[in-house]
Amino acid sequence: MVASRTSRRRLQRSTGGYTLMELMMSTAIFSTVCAALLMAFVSLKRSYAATADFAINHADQMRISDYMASDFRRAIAVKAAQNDTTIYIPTYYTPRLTDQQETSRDVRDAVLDGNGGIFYGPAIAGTWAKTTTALPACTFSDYTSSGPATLTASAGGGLTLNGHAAAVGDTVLVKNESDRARNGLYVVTTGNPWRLTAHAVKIRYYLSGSAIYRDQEDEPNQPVALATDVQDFIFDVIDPPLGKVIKTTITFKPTFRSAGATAQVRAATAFYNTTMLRNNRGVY
Amino acid sequence: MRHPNTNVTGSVLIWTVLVITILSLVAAGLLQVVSGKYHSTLHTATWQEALVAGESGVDLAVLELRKSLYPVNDAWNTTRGWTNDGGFGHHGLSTIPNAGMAGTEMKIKVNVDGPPELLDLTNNWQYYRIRAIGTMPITGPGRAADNKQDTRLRKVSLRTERFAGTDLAPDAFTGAQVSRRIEAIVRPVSAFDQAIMSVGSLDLSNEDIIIDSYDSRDPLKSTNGLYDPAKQQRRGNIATDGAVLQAGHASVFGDVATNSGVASNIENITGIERTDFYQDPIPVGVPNSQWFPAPAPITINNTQSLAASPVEGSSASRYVVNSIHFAGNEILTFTGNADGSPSYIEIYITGDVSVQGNGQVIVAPGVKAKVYFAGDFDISGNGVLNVNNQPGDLLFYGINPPDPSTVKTFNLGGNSLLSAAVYAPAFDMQINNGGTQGSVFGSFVGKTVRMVGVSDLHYDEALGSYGVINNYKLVSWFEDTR
Repeated sequence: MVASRTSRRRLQRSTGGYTLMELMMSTAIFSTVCAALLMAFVSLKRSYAATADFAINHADQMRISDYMASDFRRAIAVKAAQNDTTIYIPTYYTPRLTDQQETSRDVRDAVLDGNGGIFYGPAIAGTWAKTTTALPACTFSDYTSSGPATLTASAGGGLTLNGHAAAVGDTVLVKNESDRARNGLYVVTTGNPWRLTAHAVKIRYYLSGSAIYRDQEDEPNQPVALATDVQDFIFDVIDPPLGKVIKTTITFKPTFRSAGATAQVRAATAFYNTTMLRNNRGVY
Repeated sequence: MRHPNTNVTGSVLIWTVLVITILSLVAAGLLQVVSGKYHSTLHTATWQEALVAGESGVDLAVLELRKSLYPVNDAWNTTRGWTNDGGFGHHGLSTIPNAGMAGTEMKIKVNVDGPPELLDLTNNWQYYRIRAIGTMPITGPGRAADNKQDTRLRKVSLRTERFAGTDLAPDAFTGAQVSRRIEAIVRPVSAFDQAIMSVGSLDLSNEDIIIDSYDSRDPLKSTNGLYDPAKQQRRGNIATDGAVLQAGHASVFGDVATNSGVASNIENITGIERTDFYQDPIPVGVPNSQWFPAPAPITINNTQSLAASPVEGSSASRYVVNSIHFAGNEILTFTGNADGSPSYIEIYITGDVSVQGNGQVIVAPGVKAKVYFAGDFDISGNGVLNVNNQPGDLLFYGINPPDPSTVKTFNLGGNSLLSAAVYAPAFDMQINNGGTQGSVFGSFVGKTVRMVGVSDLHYDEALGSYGVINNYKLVSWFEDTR
């Protein structure tokens, strides 16, 4: 009898509603838990986004640094400036033909110029001439950020070397100038009055908008963006008096999409690179 | 029978699954980022290690080239993995265990050759081409980078070695790897590459000495092949492999270098001052081991002439001298052709040299003399008269004693204008006043070097192309990035 009454009470409770207090309490607890979960998710999302941004930026920095170090090592001249730096490297390879694969190009042979200087000679015979005597009067301009070194005739007229009338496109080895800085491998770029332009490949790094570009003049599909979505990219190259070591500082201010980067976080993204110029400006 | 709590239990399960799913998605996304970064960093690190391997190959080759300069030539030894490919072509493969990440091997393959187009015909010095490949395995799964420019830069070999099929392909690992190929060219460096170089201390006394340079080959840097103050050059470099350089208020028109030391009392330097200098001078060996037929030794105590020969290296140009001892008015003359045309003489002095009183050594016009000495060397009196005043015409070489602890001395001075180049890395060297003007022309290399009474030293840059080869220097470097 007692058991039957108890069961009836339970049945009555289970079909009865919650009290207002119970509902309010449960709603409050549920809301608190949901809010906590939401905050945790938002925080996780921000953390994820920040981590992803940092990883991407770090990879961009490493890429740029490695590209530049690779070019600095083989450079014969570097014109350093913030956000716009030009590097000249010797013409190691034979020219790329149309649609030719990069690996199908040949490495030119290194030869001496007679003064202990080295150059990588053209592989195509008949299109170049060696000088055996000093050039006629000419003016010399050193490498600049806009172009390689040039030798330009002081007076009009063509250039004849060893009985060969040099034509535009010919390659000329200048090796008997009293100023040895002038000696090197040149290409005839203007026939009358003649002008010789140093035989070198120009590579330029520069910032444009929010991207840093690398532009190599003998490569197809140039320039290429090495890093994009970069905000306030600072690129500094220091060329100490030795002229043999290049120090590069690459500072990113990553685009943190969630809450913006603090100064401390930005400072942590500075990337330093010190590269020795292996060619030591002794090769052309 | 009814189960009134079933719906409540189910909703909790859904919530749990939902939360776990969201957390899993977040974790997966994070793992993807971390994994990508891991691979990127792994490729970068391995790529850098491969460069270290390639450049180590160049260093190994230069080391062997230096060994070939020693009196006892142990270069290109097969026990170190070198083989001769015929002519001057050497090939080597080195495997360095535990050099990479996770204890991986570093493989270095090197080819060294001296092609005829790299022979300097002005002095018959051979430049060498060193090509090296450094290869490192990738310790993680072979996976391409997620950035196209990374792939283009690093050219990781995931399945096929990119240099395969060429004459300098690496010995490939079985899995993914990175290979970097370096081509470097080295040129010989003369023992007389600097105005002064000492292994130990370098003391210029307190003479306010001026050190500069000229180039006897270049009319813009000399007059009739002689020093001209109006054409003064700035390659009068001085260096010590030690830590002490007492400059004595010297003015150096060139660079000053020590090995982690201090250059004291420098009045002026036009070049740079460095503290990272290091050079281990190549010892000088006994020359007559290659002289056939061996000349009969002579002793010189009186006035005498030794004739030079028009043919360099001929037996008629070679002399072995037991010792030289002058105390009065004796004169030793190296005679050449009457017309002053080039002639050559080599003298190996097995004992001591002492020239005092009015004694003198004369190098006639056109004679190009090399003097090797094994004993103590002391010339004062009327000194050494190099008539043409070309330091490159009179080269002194001090032979290293068999016992490195033996102390040998080299003192050179006297009343004549001193014009010579001396390479004696095992000798304590003292250069005394250079005649009435105090001027000295040439280059001096000693265990220690001290200059007394010398007012100015003029280094002839042409000496950089003369004499024994003391080292090899990198003059070209490039990485094959195809």
